[in-house]
Amino acid sequence: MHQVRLIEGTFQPSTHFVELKQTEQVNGLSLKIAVIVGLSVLASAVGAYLGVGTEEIMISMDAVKREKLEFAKLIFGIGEVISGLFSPLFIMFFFSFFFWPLFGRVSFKKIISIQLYPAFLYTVEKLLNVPLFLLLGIGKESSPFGLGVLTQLITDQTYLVNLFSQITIFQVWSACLQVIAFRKMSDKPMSLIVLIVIFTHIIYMLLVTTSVTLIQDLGISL
Amino acid sequence: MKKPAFICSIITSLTLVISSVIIIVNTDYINRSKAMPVYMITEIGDLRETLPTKGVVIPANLYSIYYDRMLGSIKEVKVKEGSAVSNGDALIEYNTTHIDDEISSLEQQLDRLTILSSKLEDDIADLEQEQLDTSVDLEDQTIAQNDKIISSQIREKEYQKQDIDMQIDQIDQKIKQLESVKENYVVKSKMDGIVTKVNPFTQSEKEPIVSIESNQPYLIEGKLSENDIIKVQEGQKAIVSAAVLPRQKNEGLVKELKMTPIGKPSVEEKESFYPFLIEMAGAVDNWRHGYHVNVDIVLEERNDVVVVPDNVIQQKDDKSYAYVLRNGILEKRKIQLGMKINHRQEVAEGLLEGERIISKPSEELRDKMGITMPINELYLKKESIESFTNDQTIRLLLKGLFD
Repeated sequence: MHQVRLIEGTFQPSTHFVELKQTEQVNGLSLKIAVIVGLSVLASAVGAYLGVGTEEIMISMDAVKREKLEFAKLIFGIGEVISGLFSPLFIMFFFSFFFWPLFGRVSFKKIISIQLYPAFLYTVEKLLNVPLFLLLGIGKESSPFGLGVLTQLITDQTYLVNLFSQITIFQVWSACLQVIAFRKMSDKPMSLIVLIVIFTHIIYMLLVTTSVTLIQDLGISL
Repeated sequence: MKKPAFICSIITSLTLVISSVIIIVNTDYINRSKAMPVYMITEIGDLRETLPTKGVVIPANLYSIYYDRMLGSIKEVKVKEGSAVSNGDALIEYNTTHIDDEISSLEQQLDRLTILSSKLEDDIADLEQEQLDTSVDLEDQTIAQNDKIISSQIREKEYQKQDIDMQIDQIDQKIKQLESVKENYVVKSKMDGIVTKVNPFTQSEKEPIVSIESNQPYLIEGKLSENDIIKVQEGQKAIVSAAVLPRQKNEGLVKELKMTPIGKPSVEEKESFYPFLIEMAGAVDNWRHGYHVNVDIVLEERNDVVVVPDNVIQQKDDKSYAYVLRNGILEKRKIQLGMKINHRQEVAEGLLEGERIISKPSEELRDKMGITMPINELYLKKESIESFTNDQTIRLLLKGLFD
């Protein structure tokens, strides 16, 4: 029986995933998913309450009544909380559905267990981002954990900035964990595993960047 | 993970984070906003540079009524010490017996003459009736003779009556004249005030019978050092409050600055002091002579100007700026400063009443910076949802979802 231990798996993946390979049954998965989702919702709720990302709404502060302005921030915040609720699940299931057919010999439950770690890292990043965004007055595209800031020195192309801002320390860490996990748990060659992981991440980044860029162009007129 | 690889990863990550933060904070490449700015609304107000000092309340006038030998002896002093008197109130009444006697005698004469005049009037009426009666019974020649005689008698009576009426008028006028002279024997107060001294037994023209201190408007007497008096001019406004009534502020004007120092000036003394007088602009009912007061002499004043706390102003290259929040965007605005008193700064140019300005603007603020603010739950009302169209709600949700 294998017990999911997020901290240990994140910092000592080699030992941890060997254990996961050898086990028949994975324990504590639902609880850990609930913890990750809970933390993600908490981070989103705190960010929403503090008005992170509401610059566009605040432009209407002189044009609309205060009640409408605050309610607009609330609706925006509800969107953020929904995002906080589903994004860890999306990360887990997006990668799992991609890896499952490619690593056929690893059970779906174990693949889900592996994706728990990227979801956990994503949530940690999110928790760190809230105070950083407030302190520095920046958006997601300028997170100091990603390449967004350096990209903005070279270009102001929104799509490129959004794309490179997806490449963060935590994403690279997640990818490394995935590579190590599949290296330990499958008999596929290292180069193939790396290729599959990078490819999946690129697909994920393109998908997220496209959605974010499209939504950024969506105007709000209160 | 192997140790060197782990260390490399940590160093790379730290380098990325630190360099990103440096770029964010120190350059203008990154679009930034200000989270939770503390702002205030500009207001119109007054600024006063004042010179604080102290003083005491003194009456504006002190006036005394002295014994007047020409008016004779005093009959009655109508006020007591401490009484409040108004302008026109009777204070002293002199004896008027001699005038009263004369008036009485004249009135008796008047009565006699009035009776006489009335009798003459009756006689005239009787004669006129007789004249009418005789014209009916007698012959024409006799009528003419009688008529002539009666007419002559009537005329004579009328002359007598006219003479008596003239005497009555003369006596009437004399009585009125005496009555008016009698009024002079009652001395009245010429101002509102408090009776401070009463001496009804004086027979000397040098001693006052009654002394009155005017109570309104009061004067404030104080002293200023030579370093302070140089800043003050006659006609300057002063705000005065009694030490026992500190919340009640009253206005006055510097009435007099005396050029002679108090006491004998000495080289040993650090500075000389000069007396000053402030005249209160209006009546102050609850003040008393001798109250100690706090005085703020207004040296310079600006009324109805935009006033802001000095911590909203950012100084750069000898220029002053304020960050104005308009339409959710910060505007770095150049302003002209005016008078400054106790951290309150007049803005002569650049700001209008009712504008939102950022309190304590930090160095990180930039022109055209956006802002974010926490949700203020006090303004969240259920019915506000009705003011949103479905399109607006969906857009806001999507924006939040992909933020």
